[in-house]
Amino acid sequence: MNFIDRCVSLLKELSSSKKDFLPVYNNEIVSECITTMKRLFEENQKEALDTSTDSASSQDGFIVVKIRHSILLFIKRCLIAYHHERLNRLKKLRWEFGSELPTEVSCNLTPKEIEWFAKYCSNLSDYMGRLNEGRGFDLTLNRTAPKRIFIQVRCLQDHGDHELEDGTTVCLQKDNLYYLPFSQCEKLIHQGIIEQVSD
Amino acid sequence: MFIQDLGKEFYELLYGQRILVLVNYDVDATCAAKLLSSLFRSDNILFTIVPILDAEDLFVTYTAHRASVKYILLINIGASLDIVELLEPEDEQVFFIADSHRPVDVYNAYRGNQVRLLMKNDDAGEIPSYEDLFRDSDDEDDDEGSQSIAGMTLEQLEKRQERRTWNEKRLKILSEYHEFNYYGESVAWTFFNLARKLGKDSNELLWLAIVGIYDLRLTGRIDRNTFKGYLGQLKSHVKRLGDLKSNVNLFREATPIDDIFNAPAGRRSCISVTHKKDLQLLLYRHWNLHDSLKHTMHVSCQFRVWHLRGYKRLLEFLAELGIPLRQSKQKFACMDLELRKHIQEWVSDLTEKYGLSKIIDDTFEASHGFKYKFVASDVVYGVKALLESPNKELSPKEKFMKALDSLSWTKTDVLIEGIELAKLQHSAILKAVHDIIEMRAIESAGPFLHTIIPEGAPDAKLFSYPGCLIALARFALEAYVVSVRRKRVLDLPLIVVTPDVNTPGCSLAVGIPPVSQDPTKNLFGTAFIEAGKMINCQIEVTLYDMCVVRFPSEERSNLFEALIIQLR
Amino acid sequence: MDSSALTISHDYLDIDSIIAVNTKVTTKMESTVCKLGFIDPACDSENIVKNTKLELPIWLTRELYNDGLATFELPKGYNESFRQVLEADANVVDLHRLGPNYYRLGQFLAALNLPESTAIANCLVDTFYQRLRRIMDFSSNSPTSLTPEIGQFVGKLDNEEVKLFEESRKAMEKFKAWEDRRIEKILSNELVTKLRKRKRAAMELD
Repeated sequence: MNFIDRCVSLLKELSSSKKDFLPVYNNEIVSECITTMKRLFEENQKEALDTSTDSASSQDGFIVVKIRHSILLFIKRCLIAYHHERLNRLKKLRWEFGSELPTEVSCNLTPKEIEWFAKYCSNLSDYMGRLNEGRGFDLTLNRTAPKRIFIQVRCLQDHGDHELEDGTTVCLQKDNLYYLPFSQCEKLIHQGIIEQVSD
Repeated sequence: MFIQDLGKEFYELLYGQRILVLVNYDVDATCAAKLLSSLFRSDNILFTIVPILDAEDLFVTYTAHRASVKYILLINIGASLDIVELLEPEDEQVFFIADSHRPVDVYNAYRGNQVRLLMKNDDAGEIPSYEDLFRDSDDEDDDEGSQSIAGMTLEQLEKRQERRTWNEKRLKILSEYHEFNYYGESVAWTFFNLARKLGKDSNELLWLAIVGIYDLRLTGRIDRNTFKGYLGQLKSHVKRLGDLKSNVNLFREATPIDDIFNAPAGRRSCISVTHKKDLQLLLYRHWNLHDSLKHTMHVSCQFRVWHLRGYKRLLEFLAELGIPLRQSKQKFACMDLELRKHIQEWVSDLTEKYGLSKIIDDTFEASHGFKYKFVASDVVYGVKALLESPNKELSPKEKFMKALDSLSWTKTDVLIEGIELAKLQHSAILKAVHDIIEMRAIESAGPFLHTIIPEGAPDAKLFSYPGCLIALARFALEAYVVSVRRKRVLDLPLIVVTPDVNTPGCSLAVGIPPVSQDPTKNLFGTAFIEAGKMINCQIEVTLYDMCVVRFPSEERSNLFEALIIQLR
Repeated sequence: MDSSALTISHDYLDIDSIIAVNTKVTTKMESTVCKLGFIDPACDSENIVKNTKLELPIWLTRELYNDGLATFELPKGYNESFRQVLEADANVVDLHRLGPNYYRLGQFLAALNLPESTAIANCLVDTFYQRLRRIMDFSSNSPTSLTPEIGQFVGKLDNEEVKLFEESRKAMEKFKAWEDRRIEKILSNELVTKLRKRKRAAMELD
């Protein structure tokens, strides 16, 4: 029965980690669970195919199979819930970080998860591209109604030259004060490169 | 080229354009930057504000941004530097310079379209005429060295002679022109006038202009007469803008300005500026009376508080005012209401007896809502302390941004922080002066006095900033003159040298004019440079003020010798 | 709740439910079953003997219970004496210690058709009702930074109550931000700031 506790520990690990970040994928426990499931299934198979028993023990056998099967289903439930939660958090990361994940986050993902993330990003951009009569519309911007056309911002990190929509470039250096169009600042603010300064 | 009409020839060019604004680290420039930022925002002119610490910083910042801007505005930098030679800009780029440093570099004045100085002609000083400085070189030295004297015709000889006299005259004119450094109009005031012309002036902008002008006054950059000139204009603006506000009355008949409790909510949240006569004691509203009196330069020197007798006299003064010693050491706001109300009256009765003629003077006060009331000088000291704070964790740019924040009325807690820092600054100055006088650290080197702040002094990190260093020098000279009763010292200038904590191996030196002469005209700018040339040493002039220079510490004695020769 | 192991319930993927349902209860076997020895870690034999007492997770116990093979004691917090305590004053009880998923487990038990199920169900509703007032109070009126007092209070809440508390707090913060005109200010995404803080903390430790 220890293996059940191990399985649940996967979930406990996920629930105790901060709700936004993904801990390292626990390959060890996952593969352990899968082997346990295989073992239980094989034992059940053996039991079910074993016709050489009398009616009394077959009654018991039925119960045993049922119990083993319910354990199997429980482990399955745990595994599915684990993966589902990880994918949900990953989805949320796309909206927070954009399509480039910082290394601190992506080092905890499995290759499959990275593949899934790439597919999700391309799905999202595909969808966004089809809005606004084919001109594309970035849903990650303007999550609060904008109040001004231009805003005053202060740069938090050296970012180098940034090209604006009208073709001109702005050199973003740390601790300079800029007055720029809102639409072009929003993405940079979300990424934490500049911050808005109120007067 | 000089621009007289800022509206047409400067502001109108910027509509729909981007401008790079480079700002110096002084209070006047900071106020001007803040003023301009609100003007630009009202017209959707995109801008970038970058603070500049020294010439190298200027070059690096300009190089980083040069590809992306056409218009560049320099605030309190550049009038006395040859900008085009220093930065080598593209031909289409235009530099606007609003700088109160004088004299204006002659190349800037005659650079034509590329360098445009935002100052009135009479404010810019007497710039030598074009013919005296430049001449066509087509008939120049092509035959200078090739022929011997005997082989030249009379005409050529005459031309040569004429050329030589012209050159000598030119050098003489230039050296006379650059002999003294002084200051012109406050940049914050210049931009306020621009705002007024555009019809966009308000109490907030007026307050920034007032703070800028007071900065010039408190750092000794303008004298009393010029200040009086400003005062008249400021008073009329205060009246005009103040009245405007009381007319904006949505709900009832015109109420008197003091009736702030019944004012509509909008009025309670805007600032109001008033003019009044007030005690000129350092930060007294945010400190206690006793400390404030001690740290104010003219009071301290009048009483000579570093001596026990002098200190006792100060206490007598307090007693005669009728203020118990215990109360005078409490925070001013916590003193008895009666005492606070009448203190100005009582002090004015005693000014004659104690020789404190400068203690009551004009000042402006701004208040915002019910809580905050600031006097112009408080704000100047607060912002200055933030710009020059010795905090190692903040980069100089971050300190500038903080200072800019402190001028904003929604962030007054930053200003309060600045005022606390200012108190520390001034306590350090008083203590240093105390030590200097007691240890008789001021020595005479012939044509000037000098003193050296020792390497390991605990407050040396505060004095590594030009503004604070100048304040220390002025206080030290004043104190010295008052303690040593010799007539001769009234005519001697003072040089103070301190180790530069921010640049190891270097020291900062400041030279201030003698007490008997005009304090706004300082000859040390050129004197230091010439002395440096004499001893072949690299002297770096700080952008803040030409009379503060940085040099390698080991050259100090050579520098002094060179200066002695220079000033004799 | 999971009414049988074979159907998929609405909270199939919910992690808190799974953890709740894994709580151990004292089960007493009512009959001997052959070859079921593997569920008892202490047992060596292949069979489970009647009247053995074991600690099993409740989801497994339910299977045995539904077939009449075992009975179990209600886990701590759901029995008669506790219900009386809760009825008297639910506010003093530390529900987090009782099981951070008190309500979920309670719902599970109520769905099991035990003789006490109705009583448990009623008790749950009553407890929630009594504690709700305090949660509303603390979440709507607290300053932005958590004081130790509030921290203590939150520490005694069940996971469901904590979620409610957080939602209420967020709503209050949003309202305050609207009042102070702070909503005009765009902020960098939360996670980006958190990541940066973590990085900075990690660098300081080095």
